[in-house]
Amino acid sequence: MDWTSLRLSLLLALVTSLLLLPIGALAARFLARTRIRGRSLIEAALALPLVLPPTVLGYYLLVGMGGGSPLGAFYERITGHPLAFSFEGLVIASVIFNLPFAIIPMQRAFEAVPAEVLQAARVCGMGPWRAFTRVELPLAWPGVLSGLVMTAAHTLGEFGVVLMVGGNIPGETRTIAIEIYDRVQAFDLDAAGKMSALLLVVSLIALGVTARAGRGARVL
Amino acid sequence: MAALEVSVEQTRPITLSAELACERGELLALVGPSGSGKSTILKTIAGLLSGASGRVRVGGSVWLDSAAGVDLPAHRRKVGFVFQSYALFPHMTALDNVMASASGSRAAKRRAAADWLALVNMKGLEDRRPAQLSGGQQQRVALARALAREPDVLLLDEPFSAVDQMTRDRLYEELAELRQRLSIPAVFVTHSIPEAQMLADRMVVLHRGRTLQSGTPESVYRRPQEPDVARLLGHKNIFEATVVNADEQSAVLEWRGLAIVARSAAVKGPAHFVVPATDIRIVDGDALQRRQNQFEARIASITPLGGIASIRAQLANGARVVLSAPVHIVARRGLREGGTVQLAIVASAVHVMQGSAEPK
Repeated sequence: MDWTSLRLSLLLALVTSLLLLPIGALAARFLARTRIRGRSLIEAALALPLVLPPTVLGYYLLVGMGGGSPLGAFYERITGHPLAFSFEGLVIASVIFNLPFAIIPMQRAFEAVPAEVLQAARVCGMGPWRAFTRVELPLAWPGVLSGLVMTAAHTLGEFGVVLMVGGNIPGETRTIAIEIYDRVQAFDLDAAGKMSALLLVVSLIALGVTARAGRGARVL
Repeated sequence: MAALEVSVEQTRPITLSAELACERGELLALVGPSGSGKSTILKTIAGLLSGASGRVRVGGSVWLDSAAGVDLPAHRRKVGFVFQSYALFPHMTALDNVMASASGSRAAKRRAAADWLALVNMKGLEDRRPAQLSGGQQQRVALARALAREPDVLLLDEPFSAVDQMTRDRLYEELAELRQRLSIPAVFVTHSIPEAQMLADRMVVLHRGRTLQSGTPESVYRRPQEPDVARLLGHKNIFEATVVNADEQSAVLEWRGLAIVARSAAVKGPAHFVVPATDIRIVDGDALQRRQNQFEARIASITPLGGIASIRAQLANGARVVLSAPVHIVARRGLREGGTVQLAIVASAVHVMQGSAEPK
């Protein structure tokens, strides 16, 4: 059993979730309350990773991060190594393909906070930021948490995008999902089975936690 | 200069053309049917609606003056607001809810919050979450939270609409008691005329975003300025007539072939008049010894409601009047549908209004 790839997957899941906590929560809060015209278009764009084949998404990410792209070139000039096929590149890709998994549950949670409760926070003398941290975020928290758990679970399991953007570099971009594929290719079904079972258990726990958080939201 | 002066002129999101003023210690009722813009006015005072257009002045400070570009954000206006849904913070205890709007050190907030909760009879329930409180209790917490802000103006949005009748009666008493201690202007929104009459010092009638009339509940009810106001206040006896003769004391109107005496009229010619259902009396007597404003009528229907019967009757001129009488009177006089009855309309209760012909 190779712990390196599991550790890499867990690290990727953790970093992705931590990055998506502020990004996702703020984007979800914005989408839940805004009445701008392009809202449906933004929502559609954010949901794209749900319907696109991972290879298509991976292709665009790879091109976007390659040395020929402004982002890739800029990154390489600063750090001295390319963004594609690196852990950092994997993180960026991971954040992007997890956007819908994080934002959709978070947005539903923010939408469920009654408008009058937010108005009550304002007339209690809370400024916008204080009203957000003291009232809105705590009330939406079960949904925010559920978005993060979904993100983490989904990151552990993602295969196509990771393979496209990260390649298969041990200790750098070879996650557990790719490791399992490798083992099957090498007829090491025993190791593949163990890792699959581990991933199954981790995912089940994650979903269980999400369901629990969801029930907590209704009790509130 | 009143303690609270509001004038709103806007076309979006809904059309409003409203003016109201409220003195310190005064309880003002904003009355109107649903959709008339009552809540919008309250939220404009509190600064909860963006793009409001008009002026809001509280004491010496201007909260909103769209012409001068002044629009204080909601959290900088010292306003106590009780929401229709109470809008308590569900993740906080009753005490934390009230503390959220108090100011000062944490200890000072805690003390103030406990005091306010005690004042609204919520002692002992400080640690409950809103979900563990009844509607009436939530309402009290909402009131305590509004008062803990030490507001310059208190606003209540249909505060009694979401509780049962028994709780409502108790809350009426508590509010009546509490307001003796308050020296700030207070405005409450209601669509219930009896509620306004019972609680308010003055009321403002609002219809389709327009403030139509203001005054004491009694005077507005007795002397509505126009048929619209009379209808909103629940008057059933609103008729068209023509003023033929008017002086300081009284007026005589020609009412589809009948003559009716009213208290003085400010208008001449075509007019409307209104008379409360309780001021049309059933009288003894025959057609020979007529009193003032005595008419014979045929009873169209008798609807008992509690101890009071609502009687619809048709006069000789075709006009249909509605009057109310205690059920035992109806029984003693042997009134029945299709029968005739002698009615006397109290002249001093007949109020004459401007007579624009409005669409029915």
